[in-house]
Amino acid sequence: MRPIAINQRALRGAKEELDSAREDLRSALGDIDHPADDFPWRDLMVEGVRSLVDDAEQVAKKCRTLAGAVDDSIIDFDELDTMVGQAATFAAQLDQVKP
Amino acid sequence: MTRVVADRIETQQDTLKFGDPIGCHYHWLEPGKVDSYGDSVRRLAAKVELAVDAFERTSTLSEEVFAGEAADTLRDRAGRRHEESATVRDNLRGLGRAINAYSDVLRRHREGLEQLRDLAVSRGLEVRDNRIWPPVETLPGDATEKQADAWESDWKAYQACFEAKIELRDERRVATRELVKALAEHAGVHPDKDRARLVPAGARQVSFGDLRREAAEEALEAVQAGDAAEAARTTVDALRRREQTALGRLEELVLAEAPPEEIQAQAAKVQALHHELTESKVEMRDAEAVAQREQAQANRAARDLQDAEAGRPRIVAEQADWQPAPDRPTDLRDRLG
Repeated sequence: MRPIAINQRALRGAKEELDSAREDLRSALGDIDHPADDFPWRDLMVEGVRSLVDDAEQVAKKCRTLAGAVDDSIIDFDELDTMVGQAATFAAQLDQVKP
Repeated sequence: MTRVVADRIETQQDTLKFGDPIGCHYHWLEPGKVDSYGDSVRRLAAKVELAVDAFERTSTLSEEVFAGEAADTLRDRAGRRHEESATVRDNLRGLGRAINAYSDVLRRHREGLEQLRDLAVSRGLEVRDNRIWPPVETLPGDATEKQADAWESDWKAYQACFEAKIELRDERRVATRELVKALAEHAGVHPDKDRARLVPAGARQVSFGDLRREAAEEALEAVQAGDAAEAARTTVDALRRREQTALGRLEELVLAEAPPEEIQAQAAKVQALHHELTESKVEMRDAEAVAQREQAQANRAARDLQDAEAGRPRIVAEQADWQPAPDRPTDLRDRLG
């Protein structure tokens, strides 16, 4: 098994980038104003743009999910830290036990 | 998912016939607003780009930063998201650009309509309610030669305007193909020239990539062949009308016992028009045969796609060649009574 390395600051940086991309993307989604007045091929064009806007919405959702997954990894390692600390304390206590 | 949408304006524009008032006013959405719509789509692409970069950063986290099974899973997942979002970004960019280009098509069309209006005014036609009105249909029997000449000249002017309008419409349609292509390529939506839904706007996602692509390509080809056939039909109709007008004039000359040279000249004109009409009819039949074949192929591709979705076997059948109806011989004497 490979040794586990973790740089929490770098991981948090990646997560923040995902969060901020999602925020920007969400606000741009609201800026799309589909034309209401008629012109040839408007319906088809709006249908096409709507379908791509749906895709972009999915991208925003995936940013959130992935940011959550990065977050979970950071928490896992925080817990691991605590567990290792507890184990060390426990081992020290064991050392003090006199047979 | 494949969606098919018919265009109401194009359907309505097909109904313009010789003798109708000709619309010469641009009443659609301002081209500038269509351009802005394209810009907003491209701005959305730029925001998706931020997500693309963020996914990439997570997918390339180094082993020193994060290692182990959980890290590998995270990197793989981010890698997949990176690819998916890059596709969405490219599609938004491509469609945004096509919409920008389409706004130029509408702008040119608007300029063309302004020129058409000027042409009608300069030729003395009546322009009212943003329409060019045809001259009176018939002249009284006691009309003078001068009146008849003016009437003929008005009709010629109307004809020039009618042909210019048809040309403007056809130019716009040709230029629209780029947009239609971009819509099919980037957003998976297709125009429906049959005014009927060939491929259902199904709720289920189709995972048969090749069949779907095939159906899309066939649909596009059918649309293009349909356009060509329509243009050929318009030409034949216009020539037929011109021939009838010329025949009418010949009849008048004969009845009025005009000088033989004049009758001869008019008869030659009728012959020339008839020859042109016969050639155009052949071209039209060819174009119609191609359009019918393309439509059948598109229908078959759509059916294959539906069958694949429903899990039915693909039916392959030979298509019988289309036979044109035998041309009726035209007898000029019959038509002259």
